[in-house]
Amino acid sequence: MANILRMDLYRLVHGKSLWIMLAIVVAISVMSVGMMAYIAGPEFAATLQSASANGPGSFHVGIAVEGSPDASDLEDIAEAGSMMTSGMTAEALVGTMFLNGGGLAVIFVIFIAIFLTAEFESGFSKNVFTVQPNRLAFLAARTIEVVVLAAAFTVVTTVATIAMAFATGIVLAPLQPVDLLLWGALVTLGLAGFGMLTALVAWVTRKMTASLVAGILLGAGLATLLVQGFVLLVPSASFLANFTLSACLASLSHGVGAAAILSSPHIALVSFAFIALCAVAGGIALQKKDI
Amino acid sequence: MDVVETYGLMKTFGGKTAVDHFDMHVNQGDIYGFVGRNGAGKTTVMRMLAGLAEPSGGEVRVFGTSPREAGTSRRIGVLIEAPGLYGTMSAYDNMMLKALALGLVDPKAKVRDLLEFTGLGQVGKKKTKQFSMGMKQRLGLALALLGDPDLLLLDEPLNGLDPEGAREIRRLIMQLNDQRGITVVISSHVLEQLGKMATRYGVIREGHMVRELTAADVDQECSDFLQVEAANPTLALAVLQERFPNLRFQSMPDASIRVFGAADAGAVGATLNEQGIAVQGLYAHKRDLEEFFVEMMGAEYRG
Repeated sequence: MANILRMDLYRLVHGKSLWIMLAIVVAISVMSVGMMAYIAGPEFAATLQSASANGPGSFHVGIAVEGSPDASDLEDIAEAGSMMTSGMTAEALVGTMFLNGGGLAVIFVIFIAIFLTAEFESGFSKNVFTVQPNRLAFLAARTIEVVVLAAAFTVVTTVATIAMAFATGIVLAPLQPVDLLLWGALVTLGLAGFGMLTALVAWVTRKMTASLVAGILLGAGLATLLVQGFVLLVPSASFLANFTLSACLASLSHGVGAAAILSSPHIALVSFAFIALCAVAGGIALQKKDI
Repeated sequence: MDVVETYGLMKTFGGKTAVDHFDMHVNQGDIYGFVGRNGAGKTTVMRMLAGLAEPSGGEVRVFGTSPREAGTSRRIGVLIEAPGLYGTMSAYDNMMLKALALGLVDPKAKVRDLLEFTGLGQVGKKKTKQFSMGMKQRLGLALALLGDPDLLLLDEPLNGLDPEGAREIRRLIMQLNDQRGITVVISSHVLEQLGKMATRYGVIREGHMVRELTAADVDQECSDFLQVEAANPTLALAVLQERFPNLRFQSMPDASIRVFGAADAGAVGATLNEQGIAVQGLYAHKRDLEEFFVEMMGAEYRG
Protein backbone atom coordinates (compact mmCIF):
# COMPACT_ATOMS: atom_id res chain seq x y z
CA MET A 1 0.00 0.00 0.00
CA ALA A 2 2.85 2.39 0.82
CA ASN A 3 4.28 1.82 -2.67
CA ILE A 4 0.94 2.68 -4.28
CA LEU A 5 0.89 5.89 -2.23
CA ARG A 6 4.44 6.72 -3.39
CA MET A 7 3.47 6.05 -6.99
CA ASP A 8 0.41 8.28 -6.79
CA LEU A 9 2.31 11.05 -5.04
CA TYR A 10 4.76 11.01 -7.95
CA ARG A 11 1.86 11.18 -10.41
CA LEU A 12 0.23 14.04 -8.52
CA VAL A 13 3.45 16.05 -8.40
CA HIS A 14 4.57 15.35 -11.97
CA GLY A 15 1.12 15.49 -13.55
CA LYS A 16 -0.73 18.69 -14.37
CA SER A 17 -4.29 18.09 -13.22
CA LEU A 18 -3.74 18.73 -9.50
CA TRP A 19 -1.93 22.01 -10.13
CA ILE A 20 -4.55 23.16 -12.65
CA MET A 21 -7.42 22.43 -10.26
CA LEU A 22 -5.67 24.12 -7.33
CA ALA A 23 -4.91 27.11 -9.57
CA ILE A 24 -8.61 27.29 -10.43
CA VAL A 25 -9.48 27.28 -6.72
CA VAL A 26 -7.01 30.09 -6.05
CA ALA A 27 -8.28 32.07 -9.06
CA ILE A 28 -11.88 31.75 -7.88
CA SER A 29 -10.81 32.87 -4.39
CA VAL A 30 -9.05 35.92 -5.80
CA MET A 31 -11.96 36.90 -8.04
CA SER A 32 -14.69 36.27 -5.47
CA VAL A 33 -12.98 38.06 -2.60
CA GLY A 34 -11.88 40.87 -4.91
CA MET A 35 -15.45 41.32 -6.09
CA MET A 36 -16.73 41.27 -2.51
CA ALA A 37 -14.17 43.85 -1.44
CA TYR A 38 -15.11 46.06 -4.37
CA ILE A 39 -18.85 45.85 -3.65
CA ALA A 40 -18.26 46.56 0.03
CA GLY A 41 -15.90 49.45 -0.69
CA PRO A 42 -16.69 53.14 -1.04
CA GLU A 43 -15.83 53.20 -4.75
CA PHE A 44 -18.76 50.95 -5.63
CA ALA A 45 -21.20 53.08 -3.59
CA ALA A 46 -19.81 56.19 -5.24
CA THR A 47 -20.29 54.64 -8.65
CA LEU A 48 -23.90 53.86 -7.82
CA GLN A 49 -24.48 57.36 -6.51
CA SER A 50 -22.93 58.77 -9.67
CA ALA A 51 -25.19 56.58 -11.79
CA SER A 52 -28.18 57.76 -9.78
CA ALA A 53 -27.21 61.41 -10.14
CA ASN A 54 -26.85 61.12 -13.92
CA GLY A 55 -30.55 60.29 -14.11
CA PRO A 56 -32.45 59.27 -17.26
CA GLY A 57 -29.91 60.75 -19.64
CA SER A 58 -27.42 58.01 -18.89
CA PHE A 59 -26.56 55.23 -21.30
CA HIS A 60 -28.28 51.90 -20.56
CA VAL A 61 -27.29 48.46 -21.79
CA GLY A 62 -29.30 45.31 -21.11
CA ILE A 63 -32.53 45.09 -19.18
CA ALA A 64 -34.08 48.46 -18.50
CA VAL A 65 -35.39 48.97 -15.00
CA GLU A 66 -37.75 51.80 -14.23
CA GLY A 67 -36.03 54.49 -12.24
CA SER A 68 -32.53 54.65 -10.78
CA PRO A 69 -31.25 53.51 -7.37
CA ASP A 70 -32.83 55.71 -4.77
CA ALA A 71 -31.50 56.59 -1.33
CA SER A 72 -33.09 53.48 0.17
CA ASP A 73 -31.29 51.18 -2.34
CA LEU A 74 -27.99 52.84 -1.59
CA GLU A 75 -28.54 52.36 2.13
CA ASP A 76 -29.29 48.66 1.56
CA ILE A 77 -26.13 48.24 -0.48
CA ALA A 78 -24.07 50.04 2.11
CA GLU A 79 -25.57 47.87 4.82
CA ALA A 80 -24.83 44.67 2.87
CA GLY A 81 -21.27 45.84 2.32
CA SER A 82 -20.94 46.61 5.98
CA MET A 83 -22.19 43.14 6.91
CA MET A 84 -19.72 41.57 4.55
CA THR A 85 -16.78 43.44 5.89
CA SER A 86 -17.44 43.35 9.58
CA GLY A 87 -17.59 40.45 11.93
CA MET A 88 -17.62 37.68 9.36
CA THR A 89 -15.57 34.66 10.38
CA ALA A 90 -13.01 33.14 8.05
CA GLU A 91 -15.05 29.93 7.98
CA ALA A 92 -18.19 31.82 6.96
CA LEU A 93 -16.29 33.74 4.27
CA VAL A 94 -14.90 30.54 2.71
CA GLY A 95 -18.19 28.75 3.25
CA THR A 96 -20.23 31.47 1.53
CA MET A 97 -18.04 31.33 -1.52
CA PHE A 98 -17.17 27.65 -1.84
CA LEU A 99 -19.43 25.42 0.26
CA ASN A 100 -22.93 26.83 -0.03
CA GLY A 101 -23.90 25.74 -3.54
CA GLY A 102 -21.25 23.05 -3.81
CA GLY A 103 -18.56 24.99 -5.68
CA LEU A 104 -15.60 23.38 -3.92
CA ALA A 105 -17.23 19.95 -4.00
CA VAL A 106 -17.70 20.18 -7.76
CA ILE A 107 -14.10 21.25 -8.35
CA PHE A 108 -12.86 18.46 -6.10
CA VAL A 109 -14.92 15.70 -7.72
CA ILE A 110 -13.81 16.81 -11.18
CA PHE A 111 -10.22 16.31 -10.08
CA ILE A 112 -10.95 12.96 -8.41
CA ALA A 113 -12.82 11.70 -11.48
CA ILE A 114 -9.90 12.62 -13.74
CA PHE A 115 -7.28 11.24 -11.38
CA LEU A 116 -8.94 7.90 -10.71
CA THR A 117 -10.24 7.07 -14.17
CA ALA A 118 -7.09 8.09 -16.06
CA GLU A 119 -5.31 4.90 -15.02
CA PHE A 120 -8.17 2.75 -16.32
CA GLU A 121 -8.68 4.68 -19.54
CA SER A 122 -4.95 4.73 -20.30
CA GLY A 123 -4.56 1.05 -19.44
CA PHE A 124 -1.87 1.81 -16.85
CA SER A 125 -4.03 -0.03 -14.30
CA LYS A 126 -2.66 -3.29 -15.75
CA ASN A 127 0.75 -2.31 -14.44
CA VAL A 128 -0.68 -1.33 -11.07
CA PHE A 129 -2.67 -4.52 -10.52
CA THR A 130 0.11 -6.87 -11.56
CA VAL A 131 2.36 -5.14 -9.04
CA GLN A 132 -0.32 -4.96 -6.34
CA PRO A 133 -2.83 -7.77 -6.92
CA ASN A 134 -4.45 -7.18 -3.54
CA ARG A 135 -7.43 -5.03 -4.48
CA LEU A 136 -8.14 -4.15 -0.85
CA ALA A 137 -4.66 -2.67 -0.42
CA PHE A 138 -5.31 -0.64 -3.56
CA LEU A 139 -8.65 0.49 -2.12
CA ALA A 140 -7.09 1.47 1.20
CA ALA A 141 -4.40 3.51 -0.56
CA ARG A 142 -6.93 5.31 -2.72
CA THR A 143 -9.23 6.04 0.24
CA ILE A 144 -6.35 7.62 2.12
CA GLU A 145 -5.50 9.65 -0.97
CA VAL A 146 -9.06 10.94 -1.34
CA VAL A 147 -9.07 12.13 2.28
CA VAL A 148 -5.59 13.70 2.00
CA LEU A 149 -6.50 15.42 -1.27
CA ALA A 150 -9.73 16.70 0.27
CA ALA A 151 -7.62 18.17 3.07
CA ALA A 152 -5.27 19.74 0.52
CA PHE A 153 -8.16 21.36 -1.38
CA THR A 154 -9.65 22.61 1.89
CA VAL A 155 -6.35 24.11 3.05
CA VAL A 156 -5.55 25.77 -0.28
CA THR A 157 -9.06 27.19 -0.59
CA THR A 158 -9.07 28.50 2.97
CA VAL A 159 -5.57 29.97 2.87
CA ALA A 160 -6.13 31.62 -0.54
CA THR A 161 -9.45 33.12 0.53
CA ILE A 162 -8.21 34.44 3.88
CA ALA A 163 -5.03 35.79 2.30
CA MET A 164 -7.05 37.58 -0.36
CA ALA A 165 -9.39 38.97 2.33
CA PHE A 166 -6.41 40.44 4.17
CA ALA A 167 -4.95 41.75 0.92
CA THR A 168 -8.17 43.54 -0.04
CA GLY A 169 -8.84 44.96 3.40
CA ILE A 170 -11.84 42.87 4.34
CA VAL A 171 -11.89 42.77 8.11
CA LEU A 172 -12.68 39.32 9.47
CA ALA A 173 -13.55 38.33 12.99
CA PRO A 174 -10.49 37.25 14.95
CA LEU A 175 -9.39 33.74 13.98
CA GLN A 176 -10.31 31.00 16.45
CA PRO A 177 -7.71 28.31 15.72
CA VAL A 178 -9.68 25.48 17.34
CA ASP A 179 -12.88 26.36 15.49
CA LEU A 180 -10.96 26.78 12.26
CA LEU A 181 -9.26 23.39 12.65
CA LEU A 182 -12.52 21.66 13.51
CA TRP A 183 -14.26 23.35 10.61
CA GLY A 184 -11.39 22.39 8.27
CA ALA A 185 -11.54 18.79 9.42
CA LEU A 186 -15.30 18.62 8.86
CA VAL A 187 -15.05 20.24 5.42
CA THR A 188 -12.32 17.73 4.59
CA LEU A 189 -14.59 14.85 5.62
CA GLY A 190 -17.50 16.24 3.62
CA LEU A 191 -15.37 16.71 0.53
CA ALA A 192 -13.88 13.25 0.99
CA GLY A 193 -17.43 11.88 1.08
CA PHE A 194 -18.10 13.42 -2.33
CA GLY A 195 -14.70 12.19 -3.50
CA MET A 196 -15.49 8.63 -2.47
CA LEU A 197 -18.90 8.75 -4.17
CA THR A 198 -17.10 9.79 -7.35
CA ALA A 199 -14.43 7.13 -6.78
CA LEU A 200 -17.15 4.50 -6.49
CA VAL A 201 -18.57 5.53 -9.87
CA ALA A 202 -15.03 5.50 -11.29
CA TRP A 203 -14.34 1.97 -10.05
CA VAL A 204 -17.69 0.65 -11.21
CA THR A 205 -17.74 2.25 -14.67
CA ARG A 206 -13.99 2.86 -15.30
CA LYS A 207 -15.17 5.77 -17.49
CA MET A 208 -14.10 9.38 -17.02
CA THR A 209 -17.25 10.84 -18.55
CA ALA A 210 -19.57 8.84 -16.32
CA SER A 211 -17.52 9.71 -13.24
CA LEU A 212 -17.44 13.40 -14.11
CA VAL A 213 -21.17 13.60 -14.74
CA ALA A 214 -22.07 11.67 -11.61
CA GLY A 215 -19.59 13.60 -9.47
CA ILE A 216 -20.72 17.00 -10.70
CA LEU A 217 -24.41 16.20 -10.27
CA LEU A 218 -23.82 14.93 -6.73
CA GLY A 219 -21.44 17.75 -5.84
CA ALA A 220 -23.89 20.35 -7.10
CA GLY A 221 -26.55 18.97 -4.77
CA LEU A 222 -28.71 16.79 -7.01
CA ALA A 223 -29.00 14.14 -4.32
CA THR A 224 -30.11 16.78 -1.84
CA LEU A 225 -32.78 18.00 -4.27
CA LEU A 226 -34.03 14.45 -4.68
CA VAL A 227 -34.16 13.95 -0.93
CA GLN A 228 -35.97 17.27 -0.53
CA GLY A 229 -38.48 16.19 -3.15
CA PHE A 230 -38.98 12.91 -1.34
CA VAL A 231 -39.44 14.73 1.97
CA LEU A 232 -42.21 16.84 0.40
CA LEU A 233 -44.02 13.63 -0.48
CA VAL A 234 -43.30 11.95 2.86
CA PRO A 235 -43.15 14.67 5.55
CA SER A 236 -42.39 12.12 8.26
CA ALA A 237 -39.04 11.51 6.57
CA SER A 238 -38.04 15.16 6.76
CA PHE A 239 -35.10 14.29 9.02
CA LEU A 240 -33.42 12.68 5.96
CA ALA A 241 -32.73 16.11 4.52
CA ASN A 242 -30.04 16.57 7.16
CA PHE A 243 -28.28 13.36 6.19
CA THR A 244 -26.88 14.44 2.83
CA LEU A 245 -23.34 15.64 2.22
CA SER A 246 -24.68 18.81 0.61
CA ALA A 247 -26.65 19.60 3.78
CA CYS A 248 -23.51 19.08 5.84
CA LEU A 249 -21.43 21.40 3.64
CA ALA A 250 -24.26 23.95 3.57
CA SER A 251 -24.26 23.92 7.35
CA LEU A 252 -20.49 24.34 7.39
CA SER A 253 -20.87 27.39 5.14
CA HIS A 254 -21.97 29.20 8.31
CA GLY A 255 -19.07 27.90 10.35
CA VAL A 256 -19.16 25.49 13.29
CA GLY A 257 -20.67 25.57 16.74
CA ALA A 258 -23.52 27.94 17.41
CA ALA A 259 -23.45 29.37 13.90
CA ALA A 260 -23.99 26.00 12.23
CA ILE A 261 -27.34 24.39 11.43
CA LEU A 262 -26.07 20.87 12.07
CA SER A 263 -23.88 19.80 14.95
CA SER A 264 -20.25 18.89 14.37
CA PRO A 265 -20.68 15.23 15.45
CA HIS A 266 -23.64 14.92 13.08
CA ILE A 267 -21.62 16.25 10.16
CA ALA A 268 -18.65 14.04 11.04
CA LEU A 269 -20.80 10.91 11.31
CA VAL A 270 -22.72 11.52 8.09
CA SER A 271 -19.51 12.22 6.16
CA PHE A 272 -17.74 9.23 7.64
CA ALA A 273 -20.73 7.01 6.84
CA PHE A 274 -20.57 8.08 3.17
CA ILE A 275 -16.82 7.43 3.06
CA ALA A 276 -17.17 4.01 4.69
CA LEU A 277 -20.13 2.89 2.56
CA CYS A 278 -18.44 3.99 -0.66
CA ALA A 279 -15.24 2.21 0.40
CA VAL A 280 -17.14 -1.04 1.01
CA ALA A 281 -19.05 -0.78 -2.27
CA GLY A 282 -15.85 0.21 -4.10
CA GLY A 283 -14.05 -2.78 -2.61
CA ILE A 284 -16.77 -5.11 -3.91
CA ALA A 285 -16.58 -3.50 -7.37
CA LEU A 286 -12.80 -3.80 -7.46
CA GLN A 287 -12.91 -7.44 -6.36
CA LYS A 288 -15.64 -8.45 -8.78
CA LYS A 289 -14.54 -6.65 -11.93
CA ASP A 290 -11.63 -7.78 -14.06
CA ILE A 291 -8.98 -5.30 -15.09
CA MET B 1 9.44 -27.44 -14.32
CA ASP B 2 6.21 -25.89 -15.53
CA VAL B 3 6.20 -22.13 -15.05
CA VAL B 4 2.62 -21.88 -16.26
CA GLU B 5 -0.01 -24.58 -15.90
CA THR B 6 -3.71 -24.31 -16.51
CA TYR B 7 -6.22 -27.08 -16.01
CA GLY B 8 -9.75 -26.88 -17.36
CA LEU B 9 -9.52 -23.10 -17.38
CA MET B 10 -12.83 -21.40 -18.11
CA LYS B 11 -13.88 -17.82 -18.68
CA THR B 12 -17.39 -16.73 -19.51
CA PHE B 13 -18.68 -13.24 -20.23
CA GLY B 14 -22.42 -13.22 -19.68
CA GLY B 15 -23.60 -16.25 -21.58
CA LYS B 16 -20.60 -16.41 -23.91
CA THR B 17 -17.76 -18.80 -23.22
CA ALA B 18 -14.47 -17.21 -24.23
CA VAL B 19 -12.14 -19.85 -22.79
CA ASP B 20 -13.36 -23.40 -22.47
CA HIS B 21 -11.57 -26.16 -20.54
CA PHE B 22 -8.21 -24.79 -21.56
CA ASP B 23 -5.05 -26.68 -20.63
CA MET B 24 -1.66 -25.03 -21.10
CA HIS B 25 1.86 -25.90 -20.04
CA VAL B 26 4.83 -23.58 -20.33
CA ASN B 27 8.23 -24.85 -19.22
CA GLN B 28 11.00 -22.86 -17.59
CA GLY B 29 13.07 -21.12 -20.26
CA ASP B 30 10.49 -21.52 -23.04
CA ILE B 31 9.64 -18.90 -25.58
CA TYR B 32 6.08 -20.08 -25.93
CA GLY B 33 4.39 -18.97 -29.14
CA PHE B 34 0.69 -18.62 -28.42
CA VAL B 35 -1.18 -18.77 -31.69
CA GLY B 36 -4.82 -18.29 -32.54
CA ARG B 37 -7.20 -16.27 -34.63
CA ASN B 38 -8.62 -12.93 -33.47
CA GLY B 39 -11.22 -13.64 -30.81
CA ALA B 40 -9.94 -17.16 -30.16
CA GLY B 41 -9.32 -16.29 -26.50
CA LYS B 42 -5.58 -15.53 -26.41
CA THR B 43 -5.86 -12.19 -24.64
CA THR B 44 -8.39 -13.55 -22.13
CA VAL B 45 -6.03 -16.40 -21.27
CA MET B 46 -3.13 -13.94 -20.94
CA ARG B 47 -5.18 -11.74 -18.61
CA MET B 48 -5.98 -14.72 -16.41
CA LEU B 49 -2.32 -15.75 -16.36
CA ALA B 50 -1.42 -12.21 -15.26
CA GLY B 51 -4.04 -12.25 -12.51
CA LEU B 52 -5.93 -9.39 -14.14
CA ALA B 53 -9.03 -11.50 -14.79
CA GLU B 54 -10.60 -14.06 -12.51
CA PRO B 55 -11.25 -17.48 -14.10
CA SER B 56 -14.87 -18.63 -14.17
CA GLY B 57 -13.66 -22.17 -13.57
CA GLY B 58 -10.65 -24.44 -13.64
CA GLU B 59 -7.25 -23.62 -12.29
CA VAL B 60 -4.33 -21.43 -13.27
CA ARG B 61 -0.96 -21.81 -11.61
CA VAL B 62 2.07 -19.64 -12.26
CA PHE B 63 5.27 -20.70 -10.52
CA GLY B 64 3.11 -23.22 -8.69
CA THR B 65 0.73 -20.68 -7.12
CA SER B 66 -2.09 -18.35 -8.04
CA PRO B 67 -0.91 -15.39 -10.13
CA ARG B 68 -2.69 -13.15 -7.63
CA GLU B 69 -0.29 -14.15 -4.88
CA ALA B 70 1.82 -11.07 -4.14
CA GLY B 71 5.10 -13.01 -4.44
CA THR B 72 4.07 -14.48 -7.78
CA SER B 73 2.61 -11.40 -9.41
CA ARG B 74 5.88 -9.53 -8.93
CA ARG B 75 7.65 -12.24 -10.94
CA ILE B 76 5.37 -11.58 -13.94
CA GLY B 77 5.91 -8.80 -16.46
CA VAL B 78 2.99 -8.07 -18.76
CA LEU B 79 2.40 -6.32 -22.03
CA ILE B 80 -1.20 -7.15 -22.82
CA GLU B 81 -3.15 -5.51 -25.64
CA ALA B 82 -1.69 -1.96 -25.44
CA PRO B 83 1.29 -0.80 -23.37
CA GLY B 84 -0.97 1.25 -21.03
CA LEU B 85 0.75 4.61 -20.80
CA TYR B 86 -0.12 8.05 -19.49
CA GLY B 87 0.10 10.07 -22.70
CA THR B 88 0.68 13.39 -20.98
CA MET B 89 3.65 12.06 -19.01
CA SER B 90 7.12 11.26 -20.27
CA ALA B 91 8.45 7.76 -20.84
CA TYR B 92 10.70 8.25 -17.83
CA ASP B 93 7.78 9.29 -15.61
CA ASN B 94 5.66 6.34 -16.76
CA MET B 95 8.52 4.02 -15.87
CA MET B 96 9.09 5.76 -12.54
CA LEU B 97 5.45 5.22 -11.57
CA LYS B 98 5.73 1.48 -11.93
CA ALA B 99 9.19 1.43 -10.35
CA LEU B 100 7.78 3.20 -7.28
CA ALA B 101 4.80 0.86 -7.17
CA LEU B 102 7.25 -2.03 -7.15
CA GLY B 103 9.24 -0.40 -4.38
CA LEU B 104 12.56 -0.74 -6.22
CA VAL B 105 15.60 0.31 -4.21
CA ASP B 106 17.15 2.57 -6.84
CA PRO B 107 14.25 3.26 -9.21
CA LYS B 108 15.92 6.05 -11.18
CA ALA B 109 18.93 3.94 -12.14
CA LYS B 110 16.76 0.97 -13.04
CA VAL B 111 14.50 3.11 -15.20
CA ARG B 112 17.44 4.65 -17.03
CA ASP B 113 18.99 1.20 -17.62
CA LEU B 114 15.80 -0.20 -19.09
CA LEU B 115 15.18 2.84 -21.28
CA GLU B 116 18.70 2.36 -22.67
CA PHE B 117 18.17 -1.39 -23.05
CA THR B 118 15.03 -0.87 -25.11
CA GLY B 119 16.62 1.90 -27.19
CA LEU B 120 14.58 4.73 -25.66
CA GLY B 121 17.38 6.39 -23.71
CA GLN B 122 17.37 9.47 -25.94
CA VAL B 123 13.61 10.03 -25.78
CA GLY B 124 12.98 9.36 -22.09
CA LYS B 125 11.83 12.94 -21.45
CA LYS B 126 9.43 12.96 -24.38
CA LYS B 127 5.68 12.68 -23.71
CA THR B 128 4.46 9.26 -24.71
CA LYS B 129 1.53 10.66 -26.70
CA GLN B 130 4.19 11.80 -29.19
CA PHE B 131 5.63 8.29 -29.49
CA SER B 132 5.27 6.13 -32.58
CA MET B 133 3.61 2.74 -32.21
CA GLY B 134 7.01 1.04 -32.22
CA MET B 135 8.33 3.31 -29.47
CA LYS B 136 5.21 2.65 -27.39
CA GLN B 137 5.65 -1.10 -27.77
CA ARG B 138 9.27 -0.83 -26.71
CA LEU B 139 8.28 1.26 -23.71
CA GLY B 140 5.62 -1.33 -22.91
CA LEU B 141 8.33 -3.98 -22.97
CA ALA B 142 10.54 -1.82 -20.73
CA LEU B 143 7.63 -1.47 -18.28
CA ALA B 144 7.12 -5.21 -18.31
CA LEU B 145 10.80 -5.72 -17.52
CA LEU B 146 10.77 -3.50 -14.42
CA GLY B 147 11.27 -5.59 -11.32
CA ASP B 148 13.31 -8.24 -13.18
CA PRO B 149 10.42 -10.63 -13.87
CA ASP B 150 10.98 -14.35 -14.43
CA LEU B 151 8.00 -14.62 -16.77
CA LEU B 152 6.98 -12.25 -19.54
CA LEU B 153 3.44 -12.31 -20.92
CA LEU B 154 3.49 -10.46 -24.23
CA ASP B 155 0.24 -10.13 -26.13
CA GLU B 156 0.80 -9.01 -29.70
CA PRO B 157 4.00 -7.05 -28.96
CA LEU B 158 4.76 -6.87 -32.70
CA ASN B 159 1.46 -5.18 -33.57
CA GLY B 160 1.85 -2.05 -35.62
CA LEU B 161 5.57 -2.46 -36.06
CA ASP B 162 7.37 -2.26 -39.37
CA PRO B 163 9.57 -5.26 -40.26
CA GLU B 164 12.66 -3.59 -38.80
CA GLY B 165 10.81 -2.76 -35.56
CA ALA B 166 9.46 -6.29 -35.31
CA ARG B 167 12.94 -7.68 -35.79
CA GLU B 168 14.30 -5.42 -33.03
CA ILE B 169 11.64 -6.55 -30.56
CA ARG B 170 12.28 -10.18 -31.50
CA ARG B 171 15.98 -9.72 -30.85
CA LEU B 172 15.25 -8.13 -27.48
CA ILE B 173 12.98 -11.01 -26.49
CA MET B 174 15.53 -13.61 -27.55
CA GLN B 175 18.25 -11.73 -25.69
CA LEU B 176 16.14 -11.65 -22.52
CA ASN B 177 15.42 -15.35 -22.81
CA ASP B 178 19.00 -16.27 -23.58
CA GLN B 179 20.90 -13.98 -21.19
CA ARG B 180 18.48 -13.62 -18.29
CA GLY B 181 16.66 -16.92 -18.56
CA ILE B 182 13.26 -15.24 -18.71
CA THR B 183 10.40 -17.49 -19.76
CA VAL B 184 8.27 -15.79 -22.40
CA VAL B 185 4.69 -16.40 -23.49
CA ILE B 186 4.11 -14.42 -26.65
CA SER B 187 1.11 -14.21 -28.92
CA SER B 188 1.50 -12.77 -32.37
CA HIS B 189 0.02 -12.86 -35.81
CA VAL B 190 3.45 -12.23 -37.28
CA LEU B 191 4.16 -15.95 -37.61
CA GLU B 192 7.37 -15.42 -39.50
CA GLN B 193 8.90 -13.59 -36.51
CA LEU B 194 7.33 -16.03 -34.07
CA GLY B 195 8.84 -18.94 -35.98
CA LYS B 196 12.30 -17.47 -35.50
CA MET B 197 12.14 -17.32 -31.72
CA ALA B 198 9.56 -19.75 -30.32
CA THR B 199 10.77 -22.98 -28.73
CA ARG B 200 7.27 -24.26 -28.07
CA TYR B 201 3.83 -23.47 -29.40
CA GLY B 202 0.27 -23.61 -28.21
CA VAL B 203 -2.62 -23.26 -30.63
CA ILE B 204 -5.95 -21.96 -29.37
CA ARG B 205 -9.19 -22.17 -31.26
CA GLU B 206 -12.54 -20.95 -29.97
CA GLY B 207 -11.26 -21.05 -26.42
CA HIS B 208 -9.87 -24.58 -26.64
CA MET B 209 -6.23 -25.58 -26.71
CA VAL B 210 -6.01 -27.41 -30.01
CA ARG B 211 -2.47 -28.61 -29.56
CA GLU B 212 0.82 -27.88 -27.81
CA LEU B 213 3.95 -28.77 -29.67
CA THR B 214 7.66 -28.07 -29.76
CA ALA B 215 9.46 -26.08 -32.42
CA ALA B 216 10.99 -29.38 -33.57
CA ASP B 217 7.49 -30.84 -34.00
CA VAL B 218 6.52 -27.84 -36.10
CA ASP B 219 9.65 -28.14 -38.22
CA GLN B 220 8.91 -31.75 -38.85
CA GLU B 221 5.28 -31.17 -39.68
CA CYS B 222 6.10 -28.32 -41.99
CA SER B 223 8.59 -30.41 -43.90
CA ASP B 224 7.93 -31.54 -47.45
CA PHE B 225 5.21 -34.06 -47.91
CA LEU B 226 3.59 -35.95 -50.67
CA GLN B 227 -0.10 -35.50 -51.13
CA VAL B 228 -1.82 -38.62 -52.40
CA GLU B 229 -5.40 -38.71 -53.64
CA ALA B 230 -6.52 -42.28 -54.14
CA ALA B 231 -9.81 -43.93 -55.09
CA ASN B 232 -9.93 -45.87 -51.84
CA PRO B 233 -8.13 -43.75 -49.24
CA THR B 234 -8.61 -46.13 -46.31
CA LEU B 235 -7.13 -49.07 -48.20
CA ALA B 236 -4.44 -46.86 -49.72
CA LEU B 237 -3.38 -45.65 -46.25
CA ALA B 238 -3.16 -49.23 -44.94
CA VAL B 239 -1.11 -50.35 -47.95
CA LEU B 240 1.29 -47.43 -47.69
CA GLN B 241 1.76 -47.84 -43.93
CA GLU B 242 2.63 -51.50 -44.41
CA ARG B 243 4.96 -50.89 -47.31
CA PHE B 244 6.73 -47.80 -45.92
CA PRO B 245 6.99 -48.26 -42.13
CA ASN B 246 9.59 -45.48 -41.82
CA LEU B 247 7.33 -42.82 -43.24
CA ARG B 248 4.62 -40.94 -41.39
CA PHE B 249 1.12 -40.63 -42.78
CA GLN B 250 -1.67 -38.23 -42.07
CA SER B 251 -5.23 -38.69 -43.21
CA MET B 252 -6.79 -35.36 -44.10
CA PRO B 253 -10.46 -34.28 -43.87
CA ASP B 254 -10.71 -34.11 -47.69
CA ALA B 255 -9.79 -37.85 -47.86
CA SER B 256 -6.31 -37.17 -49.18
CA ILE B 257 -3.24 -38.70 -47.53
CA ARG B 258 -0.14 -36.78 -46.59
CA VAL B 259 3.14 -38.69 -46.56
CA PHE B 260 5.94 -37.20 -44.44
CA GLY B 261 9.57 -38.23 -44.54
CA ALA B 262 11.90 -39.21 -47.38
CA ALA B 263 9.14 -40.41 -49.63
CA ASP B 264 9.76 -41.29 -53.26
CA ALA B 265 6.71 -40.26 -55.27
CA GLY B 266 7.39 -42.91 -57.91
CA ALA B 267 7.60 -45.70 -55.33
CA VAL B 268 4.40 -44.57 -53.65
CA GLY B 269 2.52 -44.42 -56.95
CA ALA B 270 3.86 -47.80 -58.05
CA THR B 271 2.88 -49.45 -54.76
CA LEU B 272 -0.70 -48.23 -55.06
CA ASN B 273 -0.89 -49.33 -58.68
CA GLU B 274 0.37 -52.77 -57.74
CA GLN B 275 -2.54 -53.10 -55.32
CA GLY B 276 -5.01 -51.93 -57.95
CA ILE B 277 -5.77 -48.66 -56.22
CA ALA B 278 -6.35 -45.87 -58.71
CA VAL B 279 -4.19 -42.83 -58.02
CA GLN B 280 -6.15 -39.65 -58.76
CA GLY B 281 -3.46 -37.23 -57.66
CA LEU B 282 0.10 -37.35 -56.46
CA TYR B 283 2.22 -34.28 -55.90
CA ALA B 284 4.89 -32.88 -53.61
CA HIS B 285 3.98 -30.09 -51.25
CA LYS B 286 5.72 -27.91 -48.73
CA ARG B 287 3.83 -26.09 -46.00
CA ASP B 288 5.07 -22.88 -44.55
CA LEU B 289 4.55 -21.93 -40.91
CA GLU B 290 1.54 -19.78 -41.69
CA GLU B 291 -0.22 -22.48 -43.61
CA PHE B 292 0.54 -24.97 -40.84
CA PHE B 293 -0.94 -22.82 -38.10
CA VAL B 294 -3.83 -21.46 -40.10
CA GLU B 295 -4.92 -25.01 -40.72
CA MET B 296 -4.89 -25.76 -36.99
CA MET B 297 -6.49 -22.49 -36.04
CA GLY B 298 -9.24 -22.70 -38.59
CA ALA B 299 -10.32 -26.34 -38.65
CA GLU B 300 -10.38 -29.29 -36.35
CA TYR B 301 -6.92 -30.75 -36.25
CA ARG B 302 -6.73 -34.43 -37.15
CA GLY B 303 -3.08 -35.17 -36.56
